[in-house]
Amino acid sequence: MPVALTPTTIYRSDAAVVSHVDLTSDTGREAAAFAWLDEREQSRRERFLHPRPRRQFTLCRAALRSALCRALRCSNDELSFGTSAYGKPFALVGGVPASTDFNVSHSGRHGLIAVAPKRRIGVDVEVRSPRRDIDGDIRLLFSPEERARLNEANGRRRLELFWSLWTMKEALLKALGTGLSRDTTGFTIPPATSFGDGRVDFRFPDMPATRWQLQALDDTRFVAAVALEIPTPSVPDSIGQNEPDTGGSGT
Amino acid sequence: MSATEDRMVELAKRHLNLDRDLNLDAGLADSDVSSADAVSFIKRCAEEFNVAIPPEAVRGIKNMRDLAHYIDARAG
Repeated sequence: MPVALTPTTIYRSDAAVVSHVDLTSDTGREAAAFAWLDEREQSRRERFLHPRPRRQFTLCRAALRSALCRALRCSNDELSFGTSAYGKPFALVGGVPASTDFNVSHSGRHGLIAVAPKRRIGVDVEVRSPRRDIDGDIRLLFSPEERARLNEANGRRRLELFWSLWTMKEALLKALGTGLSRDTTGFTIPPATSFGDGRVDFRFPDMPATRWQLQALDDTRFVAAVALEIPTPSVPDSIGQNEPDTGGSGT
Repeated sequence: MSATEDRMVELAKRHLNLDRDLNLDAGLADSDVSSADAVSFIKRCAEEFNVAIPPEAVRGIKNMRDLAHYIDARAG
């Protein structure tokens, strides 16, 4: 892959790597990225109606291919993608599901790619766009405890907390594999993750056996979070299946 | 455009940061709508039309026209 397309690592641990992709408009980079996509992806790209989402998809997918080829020690031609029943994609090498999970998010000019061998992972990035009706959004998107925290904050701090809580919620739901088909008001991000304490354990109320590590990845350009499954002896390796736990949502 | 779609477009103008006219057949991601905006907008539509849209139904709603059909099929 051309050096200009290689994503930049912004977080690395023993269990996961998160990389940043520059999504600034650049015809040359986009053409180079397009060449890395397979036929299905190239055709999917053409179905986007507007240039920005088309560019986001192209650059992120090429960077994802680069990251996965490195993690899975395979060539770009060997790599393809399947999709779980809940719409979460997974990697195949030579047609065989790989035991490495990944997740992609983008917002504005920023894309993030998270890769984790043998664990479920989810990532979300959001630029700090202002809200037209932040009170209404808080009421509709967050749990009662989170609403109380948000309502204690003011101005810029409130907006920062809004995006911090939202990125953690979405990272968790993407790691779980359900995406937004699970109610975001039905679980609460622990207060310790607000400002400063950027790393915390989390359990869904209806899935207490599965632990998740939440890590804030904010910087001056965006708010972001990664959610990584913490393995326990009773949790089987579920990568490639991506079927979420079942059960009602907690509070 | 149906009456439901008209009202949804008005709701979108009030609540979504769109830099172009809303295309009812475009996916929300293709419309540059953030995930927070998408979830919030669907819940606002549920309130506006007095229709329950459970989270598990959101997965089947790919664009605004799907949402309008979902609402029309359940509105009283």
